[in-house]
Amino acid sequence: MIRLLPFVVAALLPLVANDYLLEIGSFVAIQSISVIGLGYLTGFAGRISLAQGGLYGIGAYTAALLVTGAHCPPLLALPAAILAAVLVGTLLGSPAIRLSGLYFVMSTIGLQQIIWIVLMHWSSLTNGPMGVREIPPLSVAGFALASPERFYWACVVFAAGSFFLARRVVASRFGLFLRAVSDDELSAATSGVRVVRTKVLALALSSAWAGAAGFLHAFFLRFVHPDMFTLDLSVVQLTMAMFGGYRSLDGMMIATLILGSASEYLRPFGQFRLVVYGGILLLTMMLAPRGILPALAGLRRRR
Amino acid sequence: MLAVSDIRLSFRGVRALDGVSLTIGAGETLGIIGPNGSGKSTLFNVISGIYRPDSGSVAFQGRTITGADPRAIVAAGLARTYQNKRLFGSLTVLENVLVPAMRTQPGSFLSDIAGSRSGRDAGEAKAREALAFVGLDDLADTEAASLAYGQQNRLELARALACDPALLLLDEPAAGLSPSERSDMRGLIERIRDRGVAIALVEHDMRVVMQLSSRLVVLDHGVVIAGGTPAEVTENPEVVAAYFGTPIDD
Amino acid sequence: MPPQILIGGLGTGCIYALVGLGFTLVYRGIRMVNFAQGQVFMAGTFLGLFLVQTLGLSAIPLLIAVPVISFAAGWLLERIVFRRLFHSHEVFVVGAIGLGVMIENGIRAAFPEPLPFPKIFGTGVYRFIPGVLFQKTYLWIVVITILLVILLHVLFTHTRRGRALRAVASDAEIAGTMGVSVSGAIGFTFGLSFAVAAIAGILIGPLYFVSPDMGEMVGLKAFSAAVLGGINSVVGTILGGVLLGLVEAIAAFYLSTDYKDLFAFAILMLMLVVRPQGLLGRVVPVKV
Repeated sequence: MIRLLPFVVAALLPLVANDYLLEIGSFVAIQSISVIGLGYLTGFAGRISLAQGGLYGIGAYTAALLVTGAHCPPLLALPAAILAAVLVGTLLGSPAIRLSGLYFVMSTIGLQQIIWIVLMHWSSLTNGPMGVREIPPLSVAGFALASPERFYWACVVFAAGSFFLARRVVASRFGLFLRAVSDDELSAATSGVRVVRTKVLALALSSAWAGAAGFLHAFFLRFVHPDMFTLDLSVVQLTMAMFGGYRSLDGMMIATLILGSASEYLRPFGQFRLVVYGGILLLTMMLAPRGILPALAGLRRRR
Repeated sequence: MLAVSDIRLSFRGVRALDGVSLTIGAGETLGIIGPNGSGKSTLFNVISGIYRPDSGSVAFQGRTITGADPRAIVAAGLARTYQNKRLFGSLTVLENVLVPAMRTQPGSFLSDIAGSRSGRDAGEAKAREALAFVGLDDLADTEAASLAYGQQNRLELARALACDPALLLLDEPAAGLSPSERSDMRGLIERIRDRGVAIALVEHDMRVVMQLSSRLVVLDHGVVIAGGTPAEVTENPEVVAAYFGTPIDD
Repeated sequence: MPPQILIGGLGTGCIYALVGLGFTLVYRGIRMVNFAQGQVFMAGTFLGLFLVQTLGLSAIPLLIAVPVISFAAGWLLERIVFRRLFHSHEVFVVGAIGLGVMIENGIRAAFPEPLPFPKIFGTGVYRFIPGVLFQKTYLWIVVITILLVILLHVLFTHTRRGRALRAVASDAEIAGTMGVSVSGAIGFTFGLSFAVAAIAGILIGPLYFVSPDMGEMVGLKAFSAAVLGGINSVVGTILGGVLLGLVEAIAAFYLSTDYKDLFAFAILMLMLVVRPQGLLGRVVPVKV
């Protein structure tokens, strides 16, 4: 229950913060969902994916197109967004997931680029480079969450749901099998684990989390554009998933907070903002290869 | 129970197994000996489905399992250990054994997510039983990678036992152990044998092999050069030339 | 199909091949992928631009100075940075991405706007075959690529240093016990991979406006080319690069420029499923 506390504190943020900070808070909460999903692959299956941003984009576009074009109630678009991301991620990702890590990364780069190209150029479906505008606000049973605080609260609720559900997933027998597969595929197989099925399920779950995060993103700026879902986003989410700690959901949440809000606190560095950002990533990996959370835990133990 | 017939397998033109045939009866302990590189581990890898042989067949309890999925072979009741200790290093000792133990438990991924504990509890009980059998129950929550060498051998054994095998392939279970650990290991294998589990044992320590095996086969350069009771085999001149003529490890 | 399409594709392919070689060299040495390779290529372009602007170097001195400086940078970065990332593949990937972000944005601070690169190879065209225009820059690209490949081949097969590199590539542990300095070989490998990518950076410069974000896409394509050809094979990587360049050029001509990248990446994903070790790559057998 102690893990509920940060979410309660986060929910109190609107009492002190302005709309701009709430926007950053919403962004961090949305990213954390996709990052936790990516964690199934990076942390628990030992597979690096660079397609998460694209699958997130699939979720965002599915939601955006359903609520604008088909006037679908927003919450009904959630399962559709998840389903679309799972279908694309699993169908196009699973042929490569049985291969070694390097080839899987390569294949996810391909998938990411293909998703972006389709979003950009299949104009009759996606509206192409115009993007999808005038997305109505997120609403639950007709109650609109239009104000920044309300939308922020919705994001915190979603992030908490994603986090606690992921904890259950990791603790389940599937989570156990996945970690076993990541440690040693061969002896997992000779211990009776269905190796391929386990990895495909990890891919499906990670896509599902991306789709859910993308769904929220559609109502974030209430505008979506293909350039929001490029390889850059995938790279950012990948670094968030690995920066905090090896196989630690807590670490992923903290890393998302630190890196997702970096644009704000690195503002004093001006045009060197991203240089500092890259330096933080690099130095952390050099000094704390298992991620910041395990490194901090190690420091405490040594004391 | 296990019938291996005429297995041939080459790697890049090198014959690793050149027409190996052998059988293991229910409850029997078969020792497989031979110099390094004679094909013992390769044979295990063929039987457990990791390598697909170029020709020949493996039948287990009347069903052909040649080249079947390793997982299906485990499910049929054939488990193994690895000579070079392929444990799940980042998992705890208990979790290592829990992986095979969860295989047959009730419930599913979705019932686990919904919070059902029944499958997990039954699996843990079974895993702890296997750990207690090999004497690792005190270390249940230790990370497997931090175990001492001898403890890793025992964890390998516990993990294989949790697969509920009718036949167990043991690949050098006593390698690298101290004399007292060796005799513990021998005692463990005896107790497994007494439960009625058939065992195929690859081992360099001749004392361990001789005491445990009811029958021996000798492999050399991928060929079975002799077979019989331990006494018969040690008197076979061909074996003496091929095997005892070369220095024995350990 | 106009022959120009093939010439263009060949030129781009050579660039993919050279940058891809950077991936291949490092991968052979340490079995890891340097995701900052694209930024190294781009840094080579800007280093060239800087040297032309300040010292007024012409083509040949530039083609000597830039790889020498880049080699030193690669060697130094291996000492200071990369070797502290060898902990695991994941750590290396994130660390290299961090380094790439630093390089790209550091250069962006100095060169915020896209710039024209001086036409150091001249602007003329050759007509070897009637009706076929061969731009001088493309000729340089192809000739220099071929020279570099020959040079690398000689280095790997006929020098002590090269044999040491190959020994480390095939098995670092055994090489170490045989008296090869593994850490020296790895430093040399990084230097080499930087130098090759930086040369590609100068070669491509005169064809386009240059900007700090040009490294990302070329880096990706080059990585794809290396995987396509076989990331543990030098010859395979070059073949993969040239093929990718040609396929892209042909796809752009017959299909549409919108979808040329889609085509290239779809081929790659298919290739990974059909022949994951690449065209000329070796299958590394599973050790049990």
